[in-house]
Formats: sequence, C-alpha cells, structure tokens
Amino acid sequence: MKLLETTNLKFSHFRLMILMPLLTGLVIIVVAVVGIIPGVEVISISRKKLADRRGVSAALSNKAQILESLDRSLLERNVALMIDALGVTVPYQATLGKIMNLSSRHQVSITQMQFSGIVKSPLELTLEVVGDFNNLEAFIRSVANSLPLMSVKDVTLSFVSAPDEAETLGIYRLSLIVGIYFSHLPESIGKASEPLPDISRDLENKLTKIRDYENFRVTASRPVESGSTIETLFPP
Amino acid sequence: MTNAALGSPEINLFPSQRRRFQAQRRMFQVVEFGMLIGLVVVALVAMAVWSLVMVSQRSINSAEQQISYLNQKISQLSAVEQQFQLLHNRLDQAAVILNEQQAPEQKIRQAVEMIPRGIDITTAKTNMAKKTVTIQLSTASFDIWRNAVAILESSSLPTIKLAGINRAADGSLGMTVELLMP
Repeated sequence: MKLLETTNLKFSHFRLMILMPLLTGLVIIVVAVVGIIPGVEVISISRKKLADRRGVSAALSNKAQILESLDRSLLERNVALMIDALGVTVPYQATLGKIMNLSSRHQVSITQMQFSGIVKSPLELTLEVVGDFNNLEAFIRSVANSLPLMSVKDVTLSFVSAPDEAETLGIYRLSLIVGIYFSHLPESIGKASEPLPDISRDLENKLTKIRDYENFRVTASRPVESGSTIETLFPP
Repeated sequence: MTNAALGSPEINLFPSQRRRFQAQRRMFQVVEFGMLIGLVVVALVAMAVWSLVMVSQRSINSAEQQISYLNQKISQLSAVEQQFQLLHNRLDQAAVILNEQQAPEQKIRQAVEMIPRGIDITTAKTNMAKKTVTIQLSTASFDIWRNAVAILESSSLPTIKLAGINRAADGSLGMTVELLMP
C-alpha cells in the first residue's frame, strides 16, 4: 500500500513537472505555429496591401477632386485654342489663310509657296515674299507669333532695288523656311489610377502667351458666288 | 498541517518528509498556475492576432470599395480627363516649339544695319543652326569697301569671318562676310 502511494506520488511528480509542461509547451508551439505566426504574416501582408489600397484611394480621390473642380467651359475653350495652335493634321487651310492675311496686312507680295518634305511635323513650307525690309521683318514676326504654330527656321534676303527716300533699307526678296507644327491625338490617356499630369507655371505662361496670339482658325468655307472676284494669292 | 490536510491521511510522514512534500506541492501549484497562465496568454495572443487579421481584412475591403467607387466616379469624369490630358499634351509640345523659336529676322536686321550706306547687300542668309548670318556685299569703290571692312572689324558684337572677295565683270567689288551672331 505504501509502495503504491509512493508510486502515485512519483507519477504525480512526473506528470506535473515533466509531462504537463511538455504538453503545455507543445500546445503553445502548436497554437503559435498554427494560429499566431500565420496570423502575423497575414497582418503584415494585409498592412502592405492596405497601405497600397489607401495610396491608390488617396490618388484617385485627389484626381476626382481635381477633375470635379475644373471649370469645364474654360477647359473646353483652352482645348479648342490648343487644337487651333497645334492641329491633329497638317493645317493646310489655316496656313494658307494665315499667310494670305498676313501678307496683305504687312503689304508684302508672295511670289512662291511650296510645301516640301514628307508629311510629318514640322512640315516644311518655303515662302518667297517681296517687300520693304521693315514690312518683311514684321511679316516674319507675325508668322512666328500667330496660330497655327509655326517657327521660321532660316531666312535669305536678296536685294531687289535700292532704297529710295521713303525707305530705309530698300526692297528685298525674302526666302524663308517655315516649320508648320501638328500632332496626332495621343493614343491613350493612361490608367485611371495614374495621376493627372501637372500643368506647371511655365506651361501656364505658355498658354497665356498663346492666348495672346492671333488665331487664323479655319472657318466654314462658303461657296463662291457667281460674278464675285476671286482673291489672288500671288498678285502680279 | 496534518496528513489529512495534505490529502493522504493514511500515510504517516516524518516532519522532514512532510516539509519536502509541502514544498513540492507548492512548486506543483506554481507550475500548474504558470502553465495555465501560459495557455491563456497564448490563446489571448492568438485571438488578438486573428481579430487584427479580421480588422485589417475589413479595412482592405472598405478600401477596395472606396477604390471601386472612385474608379466609377473617375470614369464618369473621363470626358473631362480626356480634355485635360489633351490640353496638357498640346501645351507640352507647344512649349517646346515656343522655346525653340529663334527670331531669325532680328539677326538679319542686326547684321544688315551694320552694313554702311554705299555698299549694296546682294543677299543676307541666316543659318540658325550655326548662329551665323552670311552677307554678300558689292560696291563700286574700293575705298567704300575698305571702309566697310573697318566698320565691321571695329564692331564688338559679331565675330566676322571674311569668306571671299571677287571683282565682278562690271568692275564692282564683291565680298562675302560671315557674321557669328550672339
């Protein structure tokens, strides 16, 4: 009986001091491996995902806010202006209208106009114009500072006649090479999640400058009435 | 403490044995309590972790819903976005064009005005890539021609390169000068 009691006490000692801590440790390890470690990993992944989603959400919210705050009529006017400035195709009609108008305004005669090179921006236009030096200079400046956008690449001035008393520098034949710009529509406006491009101060200044340019936009053509005189592009 | 209090009334223990058993029992109790606390703590930690998992999952779902709503909102504003992007696209290209404009007429005027009266300008040609204006001049008098060269040389603005001199059939002197414009 005493032996049995001693054995019970020894088993109790073994159970409490070794078996139970082992089992408890095992349970803790199992709970940690099955429950806590994957949970912590999931939390870590979730935090990254959440930060990412919050970033996207903030960007989208910002974008939506900007888009909503835009003055749509002003935007439409600016887009129309910029399409006049930089057309989606070669602005032949607007170019002819502009050159005719400016030659008449600055009292210079156009003797030749030639579009050359392959049709890509800038399309090259060679112009030959005759006139007083000051008028020619004003003509070149107007060509560069009006819409559609053009830039005068190089000019050649050839002497025609000596200056009389009224003129300061005489009559010249001006040959100028003009680049006419156009640009096709962009193929894509990007993803919805991408932020809107920034219109910098410099771009705003350029827009203001272009707004001040004279615009030779194409107006609807009208039929030639019978008996009306046809305007001569190249006066004799 | 009696044997009955120790839970084994049948066993008669010596006082030293009794103290040892009492100490062992207290230790057993501490171990049991420790194990219990450990299990409870682990269970609580596991519960907290999975609660956090659920909370973060809910936050992700909420953010996804917000993104979906904003995407829908932006797609409703796509016409405005297209116009804005188009404006930026044109403006960006226009800025490059405007920055590249060089006003060659100013260079020509600057060069032409340097040529003294009495000398005819046959041609004046810009080369904006090289920043030069090449002028062909002619004059009937050698003295006027020499005077012109002196004036051009004394000018501090352009760098002058005398490209060639020739005498035409009518006896006039021709000269080609290349002015490097600032």
